Amino acid sequence: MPLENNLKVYRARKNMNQSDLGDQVGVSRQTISSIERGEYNPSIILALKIAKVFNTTVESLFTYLEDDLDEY
Amino acid sequence: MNISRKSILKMMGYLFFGGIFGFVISMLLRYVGKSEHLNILISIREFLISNSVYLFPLLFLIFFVPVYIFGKIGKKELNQAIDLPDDLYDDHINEAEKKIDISLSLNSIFMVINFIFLGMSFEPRVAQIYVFLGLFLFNILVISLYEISTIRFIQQNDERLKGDPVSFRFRKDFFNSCDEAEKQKILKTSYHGFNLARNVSFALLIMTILSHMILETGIYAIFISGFMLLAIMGGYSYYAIFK
Repeated sequence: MPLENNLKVYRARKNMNQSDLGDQVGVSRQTISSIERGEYNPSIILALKIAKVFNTTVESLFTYLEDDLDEY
Repeated sequence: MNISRKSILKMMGYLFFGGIFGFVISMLLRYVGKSEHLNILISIREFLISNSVYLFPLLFLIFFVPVYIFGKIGKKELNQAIDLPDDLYDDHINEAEKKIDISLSLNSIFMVINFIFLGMSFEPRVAQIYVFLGLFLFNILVISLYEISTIRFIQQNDERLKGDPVSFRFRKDFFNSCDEAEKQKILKTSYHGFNLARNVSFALLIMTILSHMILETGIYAIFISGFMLLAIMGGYSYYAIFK
């Protein structure tokens, strides 16, 4: 997965669990969990929504690592 | 046309192996088509007809008992996982969902097998035909009720997920209510399913053509398998062009 994230850190700072974050951005708890584990790369819209919850930028939440395409 | 020599050789290779495969299948069909081997198939059908009343209860035991057990365990684990902290949640929820998925998949297989056996062992002259049909309908009713109850359970645990499982719009409404990661998972699975269905349909079409050529099994099977392939590929093309 080409994206690395520090969602967990931001969540901990805000004392927020996966379920709360999921509710705020309109996705399931599992989707938040998949993003944190790097199993799922969120869309730009979802990334922006998450960044808005933490009052930060997308770049500070997600880091692009390498040119690696998802396999279908 | 700009086709490389390597591609042409590759295609020739496929044609060659396709020819060999076709030859082997024809030989196999000729062997099966010999009267003594066809008699075995006829006696299997006669066995199914004479034992048709026991068939559906047997299928129920083979399929629905595991369906129920997997579902029960999966639902219990899912209920437990909801209260777990985030670190433990991932593994537990994945395991629970896997069991529910297995349960629903087995349930679908159970339904298809019921229809196959209905077709294979249906004989209106058999005395217990109404019992036979009643047992078939009972299995189908159980399958449908189980699927509806499982979907309702999933929806109760996640209120985002919409759709009435009894409605014809269910799949559309359910898909629309999923989040982007869930939609991606469904689309990935569907794409793999589409590829498998296309390949299997094509193989079935070839098989039915060969069996008609060798065993004179008629054109009905060719029409059905060909129509299935057309529907699969036509559906794909329709969505690719117009949606």
